[in-house]
Amino acid sequence: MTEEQMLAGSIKNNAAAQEALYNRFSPRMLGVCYRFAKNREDAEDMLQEGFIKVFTQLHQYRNEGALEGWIRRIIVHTCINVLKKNKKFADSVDIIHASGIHVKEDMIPSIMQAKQVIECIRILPLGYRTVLNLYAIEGYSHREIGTMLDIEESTSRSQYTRAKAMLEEILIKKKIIHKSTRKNNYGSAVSTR
Amino acid sequence: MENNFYNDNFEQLLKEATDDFRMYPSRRVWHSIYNDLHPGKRWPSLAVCLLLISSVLYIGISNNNSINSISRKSAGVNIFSSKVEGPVNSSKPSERGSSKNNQPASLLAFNKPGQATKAQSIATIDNVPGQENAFAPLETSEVQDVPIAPAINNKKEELITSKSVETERIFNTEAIENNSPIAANTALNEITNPVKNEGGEIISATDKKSIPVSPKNNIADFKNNKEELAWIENYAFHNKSSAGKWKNKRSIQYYITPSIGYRHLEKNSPNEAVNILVVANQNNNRNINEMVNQNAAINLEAGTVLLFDVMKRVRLKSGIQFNYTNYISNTFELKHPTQTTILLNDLANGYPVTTAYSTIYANNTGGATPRKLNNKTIQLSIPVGADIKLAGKNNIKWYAGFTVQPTYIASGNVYMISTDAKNYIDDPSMLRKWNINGGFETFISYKTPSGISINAGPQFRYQFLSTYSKQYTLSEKLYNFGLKMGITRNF
Repeated sequence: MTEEQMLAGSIKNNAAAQEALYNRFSPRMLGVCYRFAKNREDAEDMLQEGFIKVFTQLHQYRNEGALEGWIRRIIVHTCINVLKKNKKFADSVDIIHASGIHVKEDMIPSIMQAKQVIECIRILPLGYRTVLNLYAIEGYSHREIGTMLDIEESTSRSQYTRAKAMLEEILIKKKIIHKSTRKNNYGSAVSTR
Repeated sequence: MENNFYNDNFEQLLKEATDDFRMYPSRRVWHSIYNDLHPGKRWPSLAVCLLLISSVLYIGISNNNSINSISRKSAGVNIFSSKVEGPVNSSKPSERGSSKNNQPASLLAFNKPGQATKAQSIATIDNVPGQENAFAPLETSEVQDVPIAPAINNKKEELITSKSVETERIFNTEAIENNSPIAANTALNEITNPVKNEGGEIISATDKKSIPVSPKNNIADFKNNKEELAWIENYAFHNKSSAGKWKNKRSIQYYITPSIGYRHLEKNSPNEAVNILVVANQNNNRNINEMVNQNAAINLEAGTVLLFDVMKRVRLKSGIQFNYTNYISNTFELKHPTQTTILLNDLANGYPVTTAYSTIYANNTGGATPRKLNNKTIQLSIPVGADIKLAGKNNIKWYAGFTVQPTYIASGNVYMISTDAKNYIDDPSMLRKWNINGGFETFISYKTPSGISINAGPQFRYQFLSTYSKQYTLSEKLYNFGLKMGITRNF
């Protein structure tokens, strides 16, 4: 089934088309949710809620840009809403003095590459993690992040700076990346695993 | 202030590492979405479910009955007879059933985990309706010596991380290099023996020697196989057989507890006047425990329990237990029997009843021969309780546990104190046959490399009901304090 067929069928509430669309995009979207969520179960809950919104709002898709990008934006907004609804997020964003948080090496699971990076991101405090996900990976601006999270733009910038520093430290400590003599040039470290 | 506020290199690294990351959701998610979008077509409906379950049960039971009757007829033996001949089995008590003959009846009717899991996982693999829930293996960037950031641009065409390709796997490097299809055996082996990370998630079927796939290889040749195999692996992971799911949650524990046993006497009469009479020693209203001379004695407990993990920190347990309880009454043996009385409760009206006895044991009488009386019982219990993990990780853990133990008193000697506290009377008919005990323990568990855990820690056991029947105007509560040692292993 092509993407157009899935789209047309899903708008008509055809179950087979909806399932095909879900199967096509759910793996990557769950990966997105996993970066925001506390655990896999929460990630699946976010995915479920997100896809329900996708299917109910699919008629609003205007073919401007890739369908995956449109779905991804809905999923990301759903993740943020879930975090805000759980009221865990507001406290986390206000934590400015996260320098007291010491990430121990044994907190980081020893698995390879992409999932290793994901898990390192998930180690970060919730506020840091969210801002980093939105800015560095999802590509939102700090102004947009401020609107989404109900924080100041400057807060978003400072949170991101700290998040990046912390993540950098984790990745270097775990030898996933190494910093070359050239400033801010990162290379992958030789993995001993 | 920090330098280089925007670091395209670092962000590019993150983006490329996370872009193709996928995880396959469980089937539950789609069902929930479907039910929300199509509320009139909830699947499966409760009625259909019940009908199917009832049908299966009926067919199963009726077939089972017919098979049993056929086998009975062909064997010509009444299997329910208590006189079945056969060799006496020397299996352990925990493995014997409650049959009256000496034939063993295994209480542990489980398949060997390895066999069950493998067979059923293969069966599961064979039933592949379509691409459904799956847990994705890692992306192909799980490659040793492959630089992630700057050099990744050079390697990108070598790595199968193109967005146009949905799911890529590196299984067999030799197959890849030789452009040969992946062997089915290899795939199945990968599936039934997936590699897991510390958290227990499958991360890669082959987290071994992964190398970039050469672009020269024909991806299309094994692309479909790889997708199919990846789906199969994830389907099997999320649809493990029941034996596989529960495998690591069951364990069996054998233990022994040497302890020191003692007793405590209390008044036991609804009539307060009787209680005063019981405890009074003429003009002295002394505590009965001060009026008897007794010592603690060695007790012993041994048993086996089945453990089942219900939560991360809690496991339930139940089994069978043997107890030998004892304490010593220091008495004097008289040269001639003497008459004495015991005050009993008339259960009908609550009034005291005096019963005469003849005895040769005296309490604190000078001049007679000292004699130690062992007040012992043989008990069989079914402990039911739980262990709670308090702390610890990896191989050493700290637990606290408790059990409630319905107890049957198989035999025992009970020496009751007379009304005037001057003599001891032996009357086995006053021994209560059923009792309830409670056990409270804390222990350290150490898991050996072989997988067997060794446990040790103190235990306190207390008897809630009196050793004597309700008629006796004194209530005796036994208690013991000991060191419980055991071994636990999964099965």
